[in-house]
Amino acid sequence: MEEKKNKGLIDLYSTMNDQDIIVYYKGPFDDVILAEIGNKIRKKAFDSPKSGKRLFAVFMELAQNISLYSYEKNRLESVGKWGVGTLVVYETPTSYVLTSGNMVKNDVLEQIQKKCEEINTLDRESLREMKRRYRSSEITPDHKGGNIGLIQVALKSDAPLEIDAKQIDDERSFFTISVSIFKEPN
Amino acid sequence: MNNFLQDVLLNDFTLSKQMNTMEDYIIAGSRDIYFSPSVNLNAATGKCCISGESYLEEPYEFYKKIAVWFSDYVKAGGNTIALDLKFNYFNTSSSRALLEMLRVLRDIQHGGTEVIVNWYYPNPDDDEILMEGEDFREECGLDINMIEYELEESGDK
Repeated sequence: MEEKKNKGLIDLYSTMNDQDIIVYYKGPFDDVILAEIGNKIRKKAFDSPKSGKRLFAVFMELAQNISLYSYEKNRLESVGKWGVGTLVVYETPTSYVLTSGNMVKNDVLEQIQKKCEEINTLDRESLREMKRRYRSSEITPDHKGGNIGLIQVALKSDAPLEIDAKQIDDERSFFTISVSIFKEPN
Repeated sequence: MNNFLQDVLLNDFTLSKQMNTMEDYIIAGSRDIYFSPSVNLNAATGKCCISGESYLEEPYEFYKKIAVWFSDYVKAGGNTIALDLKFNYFNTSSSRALLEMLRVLRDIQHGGTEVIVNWYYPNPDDDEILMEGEDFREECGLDINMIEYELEESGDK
């Protein structure tokens, strides 16, 4: 309790100091936050329409994944409805980079990793085929997601999905996924 | 049979009371916390249009209601459905519900009703809407027409 409350934040800020940050967020991914960040990212579409729209589409899928499936929920909220996670979007002169992270159960992590690895081996036509195959499988009202979000993210991005995970304990891991979208040349 | 279709068919029950009283189904598009497309289903002509953006709190319910309307329309004696789909954004949850709606239309077509579905994609097609339309066509079993339109310049997409 003696440690200063702001110490971690200063370190965190310093590590991100040399990037042009569009959004940095950690917390519950509720619908209002999604709309706010989504609008902010959407405005980028004015600068570079095609890549801006792709960035928006990628953001929406990854943010909804956290909303719906993050293993961590906000403890102080009476209804533990929204998933907690983190998201950074920054830009370089040539691309947008979006990284998201959230807690997942260890057994789920393995499935996600396998799916991402499969996605990364596929070309565009095979990705479309995979998307159709997943989308055609059984739909249930309680499963809100399309189960095809990650495939759509890969279709919208210009580089393989970069995934990483760090095991926290026997139950949970922190999973991150990073996506790059190239800006169109001016 | 999946739940979506089952829900649409279960609706049969209420229909007998509504015969000949089909009403238009209209939803104004909105973009607030969620994005709703505009929906205009015309009970007199069977001309229908869904357009805009689709990111919904309950995509499954949203498109099921539309599918139920189609199903009711046919049972009330409608013999043609012409549906224009003109999206500029939808998330994957919406796309899944949309697919289910299109499959209801396919079943309606198999039942002998004329069903025409037009999928509009913009030029330039930044969001790869044509590709999405082709994927729907392959998956739903309807012969969807792909129609290009010129994207007008506007302040906001």
